[in-house]
Amino acid sequence: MISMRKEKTRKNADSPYEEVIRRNSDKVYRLAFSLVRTRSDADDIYQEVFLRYVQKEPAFQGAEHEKAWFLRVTINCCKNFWKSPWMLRRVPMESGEMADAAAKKEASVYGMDDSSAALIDAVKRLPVKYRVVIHLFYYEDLSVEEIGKLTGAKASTVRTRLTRARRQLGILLKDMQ
Amino acid sequence: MFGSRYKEAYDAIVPPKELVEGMVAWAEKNDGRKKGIKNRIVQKAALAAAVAAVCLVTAVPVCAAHIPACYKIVAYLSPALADRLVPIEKSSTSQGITMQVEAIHLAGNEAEIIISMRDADGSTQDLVHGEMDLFDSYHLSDYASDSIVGGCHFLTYDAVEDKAYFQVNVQSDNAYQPDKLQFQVNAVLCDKSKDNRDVDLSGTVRSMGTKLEGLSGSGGRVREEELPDALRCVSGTEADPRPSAYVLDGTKAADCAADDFTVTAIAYMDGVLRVQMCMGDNWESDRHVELFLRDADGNERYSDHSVGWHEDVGDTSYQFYEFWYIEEMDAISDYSMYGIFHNSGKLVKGDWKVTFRLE
Repeated sequence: MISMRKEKTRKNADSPYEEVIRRNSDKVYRLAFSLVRTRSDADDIYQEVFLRYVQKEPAFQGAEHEKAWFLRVTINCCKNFWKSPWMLRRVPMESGEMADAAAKKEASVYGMDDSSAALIDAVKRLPVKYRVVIHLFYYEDLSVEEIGKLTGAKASTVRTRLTRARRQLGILLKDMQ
Repeated sequence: MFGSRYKEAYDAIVPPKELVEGMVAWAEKNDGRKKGIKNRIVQKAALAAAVAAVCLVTAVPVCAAHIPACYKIVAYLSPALADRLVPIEKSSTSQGITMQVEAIHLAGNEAEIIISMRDADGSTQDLVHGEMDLFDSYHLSDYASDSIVGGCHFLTYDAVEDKAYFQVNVQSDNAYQPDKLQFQVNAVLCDKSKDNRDVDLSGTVRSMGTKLEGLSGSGGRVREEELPDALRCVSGTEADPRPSAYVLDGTKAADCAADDFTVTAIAYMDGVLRVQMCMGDNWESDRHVELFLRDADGNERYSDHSVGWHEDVGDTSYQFYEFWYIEEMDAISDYSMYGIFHNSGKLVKGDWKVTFRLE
């Protein structure tokens, strides 16, 4: 798989996009999924983020800058997504059989075990602002200060949100057991 | 531990292969920004034309679809109330929180109002993120009369909108004038939470001294005249009209937490289990507890009667409750107890005021 990617990158050396898209695909998709909560919506966000990348062609000043750019643009695209008239009129699926069935289907698509599926289900129930900080802190290993810069919040606010998110997650996971 | 578990769970989340390949192919095909942008402009123009066409055809249904989010919430909880409501959607901001009067139903001297609270635009305080309370600080007036009685019910916290919704019911002496109404809130209590905790009965004593305390309240399913003599209230005097009761002389107020619950005494005397608890300083909070006694067969029940009072230490006023369970208990060890402990966070005092009229 890796050798195939290298081959392809070499083959398309004149196209600067492929390598960057492949390098950031998982990162963008995971954050989008964590924020918008469904695969179909994460697909839309993913496309929007890389569309912006191709259009704007930002000049990255290193790996950290590139990572921060993609994370920030993903968050911004998610914000726009929530403000869209479509989202404002969309009625959330209430917790119940349909929601449980959807969660089970999603878990099976990704081949998750029960513990991982329960954790992702619990994260989905958190408010958006908590999902952002939890994901950036625990998955992307960003510091509180870095999360503050990305989200436009003070470091103290990020700290508070992390604490509350952990507490809510603890309760949710306990309730689900 | 949690970090590795989180990573493991999210490692499984990857974009579909076709999505990645499609994106790469698209980027290569457009071979750079100019063509891409041009295509996007063409796509956008085509999309705009299509949307305009759809709008022309479906203008009326789309307008009808503009239903405030609060209606979905109210309709889910009470379809009948949703049918009665008239949308208002007017807001007021104070102390980093925006209050919006979403909708109202006015009928003579009674009103049902749906309001929401959210963090104000640009605020970084993060005050709204779950259950809240209006701290009995709301009223509806029409300048001539004001609400005299009311009740507030937290409906839900909508995480997508980041809004906390409430239903407020108020009643006035006279019929409200629909052309000049004002709804006002003066305080909100953030971070309301509740958790279940066991109360350890193993230290229950069979004898303890009592003290006479002036009560701030009392009540329960067993009326006062049905209580054992030792628990009967003592009438107030002219100097202090409050009734008093003999309560357990347990842990002193000064030794209790000002911002948490403290079990101050548990005793079983004269066929009554008495559990005394301090809520700390409750003037700017809403700490309270529901205590359940569970017998050997698993039957649970609430207290038969309870009394409440305050004890001041310096500027801090500690609130106490004593819960009484009339029960023939051969062995305390046959019983257990748990409580639902309701706690709350910061009290935000502000001035949220919305003036509106009903056409």
